[in-house]
Amino acid sequence: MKVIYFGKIADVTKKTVEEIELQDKNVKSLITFLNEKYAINLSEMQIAVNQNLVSKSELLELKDTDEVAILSAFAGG
Amino acid sequence: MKKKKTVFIEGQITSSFIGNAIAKHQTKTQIGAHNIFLGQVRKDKIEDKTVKAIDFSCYQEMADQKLDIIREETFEKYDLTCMHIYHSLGKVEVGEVCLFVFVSAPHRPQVYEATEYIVNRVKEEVPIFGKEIFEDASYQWKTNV
Repeated sequence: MKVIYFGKIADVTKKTVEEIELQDKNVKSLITFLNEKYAINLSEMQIAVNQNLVSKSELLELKDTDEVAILSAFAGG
Repeated sequence: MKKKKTVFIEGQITSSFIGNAIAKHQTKTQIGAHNIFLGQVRKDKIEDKTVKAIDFSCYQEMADQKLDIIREETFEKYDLTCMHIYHSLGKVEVGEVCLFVFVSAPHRPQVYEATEYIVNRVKEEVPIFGKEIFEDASYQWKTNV
């Protein structure tokens, strides 16, 4: 699954895109993965699946074709 | 087929760009009121550091979608003739404009409310990221509060 990073998150991961293989393909296990690999806290990120923000607490299933984006705090304006 | 709107501009939004945008509306004679919001990069002091510029980036596909929704819902909520949103990408120095919201309607009350509504939604919902670059070249990531 392709995961893209934006803002501060991309700074922490030192990349803008990554191919991630999860055993359980859902939002919760993706968060666990990001926390273990990069020590990114839940409160520091938002997750968008196919350009829509999703709840970080749900077990939303992720498909290989989904565009998954990890976003840091918005700062427009 | 919906016309694709250009929102993102590389670098600052210049006063001549803003002036031209106003001039283009002189032919739309049903308009009786314009309202404009300009966001300018502030020389913030954070502890002992001073902001020199903000480097903006965005998640373009999602930003375009969100801006489309904001535009549609603003037109549903307010009786407007037209509205324009422009936001900078890349480096914008302190004192330069990075957000330009331009709302026009036949009458005045609508444009004040609509402008506030649009600016709030752009700040909260559009995935734009900003790196505050300090005078000593270090930086921190800006957060809308």
